[in-house]
Amino acid sequence: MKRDRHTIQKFLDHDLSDKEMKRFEADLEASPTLQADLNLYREVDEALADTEVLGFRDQLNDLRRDSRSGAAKKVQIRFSRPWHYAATAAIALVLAIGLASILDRPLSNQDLLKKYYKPYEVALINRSNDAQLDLMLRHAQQLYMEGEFSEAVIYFEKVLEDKPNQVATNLYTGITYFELEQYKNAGKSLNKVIEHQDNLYVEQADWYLGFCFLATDENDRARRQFARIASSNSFYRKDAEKILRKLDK
Amino acid sequence: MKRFSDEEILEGLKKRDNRTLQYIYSNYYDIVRQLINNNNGSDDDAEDVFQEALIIIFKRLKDEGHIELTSAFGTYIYSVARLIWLKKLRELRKMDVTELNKEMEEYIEFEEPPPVQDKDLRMAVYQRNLLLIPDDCQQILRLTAQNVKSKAIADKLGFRSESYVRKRRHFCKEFLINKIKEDVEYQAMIEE
Repeated sequence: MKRDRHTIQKFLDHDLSDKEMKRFEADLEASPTLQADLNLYREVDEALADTEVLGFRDQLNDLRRDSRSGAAKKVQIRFSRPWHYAATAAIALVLAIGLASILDRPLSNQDLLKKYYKPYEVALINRSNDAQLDLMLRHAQQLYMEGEFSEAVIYFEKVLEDKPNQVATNLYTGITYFELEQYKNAGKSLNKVIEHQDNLYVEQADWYLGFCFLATDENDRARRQFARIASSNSFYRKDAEKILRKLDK
Repeated sequence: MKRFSDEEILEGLKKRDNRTLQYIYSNYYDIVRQLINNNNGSDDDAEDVFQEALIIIFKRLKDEGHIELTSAFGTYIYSVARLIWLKKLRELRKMDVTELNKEMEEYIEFEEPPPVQDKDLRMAVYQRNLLLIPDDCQQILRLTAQNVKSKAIADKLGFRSESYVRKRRHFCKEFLINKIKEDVEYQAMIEE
């Protein structure tokens, strides 16, 4: 099946050799499933190319979020820890970074966390065939967005009781534990995402695991973790390089 | 809030004007919510259906240039939403419905708008699932669909190489396709 899909994409990209093309066309004729898959790929491409409707959909989603939060601006995640709110802390951070760079001193782990850490934004919920579970997950995500992490974690864990391998929920649970300063639990949840491998949240889980090591002052592990990210193709590669430079000073 | 004429609403909708959209939500959403709440649906269902109705009308405006309303805009959007909800009840919930809650049907005016195409609803499922995958994946797939070359995507998104963009694109696309196939609404549609 996976090979079929790879071939479908190559077919749509006009990347099949003559021999592969002949075989694909024969398979296509014989298999209604393959035909249905090809149609799905084509329609998905069409949906992706419809930038006007996609843009309009984004706009309507923003409006929905605004009306849910009752605010005129896009929902922002509230941070639970007081230092995130406090303007004094922000000023202290600017001063600390400024001073550290003037004196060429390394930033503390707390400074690095303040500078680079922010919780992962919640995507819209995927519908499953279990309405009760969807409701619970939606509630957990809402609490997460509102910064009510101690409550959010209860609902995330309930979802995971039923669906322990749901990778996105494990990622949010990990970040929620991080916010609650329960770093060991955070590491466990994030490692589940990383060990699962075949998912799209591995990069995010790797990134947040690095912060767990920073928060617990396990600097050698943090170095290894960020070095791994920096040498990969990760979305966070550049920031990981910056953290590494600061850690290595 | 200023009152908009139906012409102004259609014009604003076509231009995706935020003030017009807010006006539409504050004036016409409630009646759709009532319709859905009175017919086995939740507020979330109502929000989804209202959004899909707006997108269908927007698409028609874009494709056909204009819409000749034979009734008020409120009646029109209500009728489109009603049609979408009937389809969803039949397809998703397997309910044998030909009409909705009698009481509502009697006191709210509706008309039969041009039919809501199955493809419109499938496109909605695809695009909704796109928003569920990680941001970098969304950007790679959207840019690829706009024929942006892998090299330009790598530069724009800060990836090291074109080959990584290509590899990630395949992975993201497959992930999206799997998500769509797991979507209960999609499953119900293809069972038809």
